[in-house]
Amino acid sequence: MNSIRNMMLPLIIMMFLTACDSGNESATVASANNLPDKLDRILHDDGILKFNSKNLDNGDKLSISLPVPHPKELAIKAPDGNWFYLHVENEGASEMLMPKEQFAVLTKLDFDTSKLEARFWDDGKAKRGKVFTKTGRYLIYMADNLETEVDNTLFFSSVIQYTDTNK
Amino acid sequence: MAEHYSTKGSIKVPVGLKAHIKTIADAYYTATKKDIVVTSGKRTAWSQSDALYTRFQKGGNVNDYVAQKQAKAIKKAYDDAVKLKKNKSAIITDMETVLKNQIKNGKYLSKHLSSKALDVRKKNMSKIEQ
Repeated sequence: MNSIRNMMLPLIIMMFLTACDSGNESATVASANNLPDKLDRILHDDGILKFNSKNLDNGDKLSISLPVPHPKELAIKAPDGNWFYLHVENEGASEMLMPKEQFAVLTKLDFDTSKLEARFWDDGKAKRGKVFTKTGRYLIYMADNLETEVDNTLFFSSVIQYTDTNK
Repeated sequence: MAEHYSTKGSIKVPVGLKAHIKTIADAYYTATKKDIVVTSGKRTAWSQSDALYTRFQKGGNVNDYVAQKQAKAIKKAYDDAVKLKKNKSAIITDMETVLKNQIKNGKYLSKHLSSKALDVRKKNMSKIEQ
């Protein structure tokens, strides 16, 4: 099944009123600890992004065709749940592939699966590493804002299969 | 006293939540000596409709929305407007009308449409800090 656990980067602060219908203005601020799991969800391949292949081996080129306009940010989720941030606005060069104006009109992205590196976060610490190191399904996720839930942003999502063996 | 939160890009913290986020950010700072980054705040019905228009126009669906009933109603408004060969602005307006009616009835495609939800950055927090 072409699905994978969603990133749900945001730790949403549940100030959303549970009694909106009644106009009750008392807010509920829930404990942060139990929220990410509640927000996690399955994301499906929506078929918007086009690929040279959705079944890649180590060393293959990953070529993504993008419609314009497309979301402003790009991340890839590895099979182990680790998120790699390839292009995030306002985060500086370490999380940007190119100037945002250039990215906005981009129609094609080419990556070498054996070399592609990006920033990821390990227990709150920024690190950099290779994206494709494990066999399994990878989520290619684009959103205007990677740090909110999908209901709250323009997003495209695709799933590809990668096999970490040399041909 | 300095604020212990900032916002991502042009994100706006809803006025009604400023005191709440300040309280949380101050407590978080006391515990971690780190500030909070607010990554999403209020969303308008127009901007939501505009985003959905682009998604639908590129062939996207509503499979991944939690509020399926609301999402399908907006998609129907899009499909109906497209059938009538309306222009982009008119299509988005039709979608916005449906969204506004949902909001009026307390039904939200996204909680951010309520002005009562914020997201804060999690990736730079350790598990303990979370």
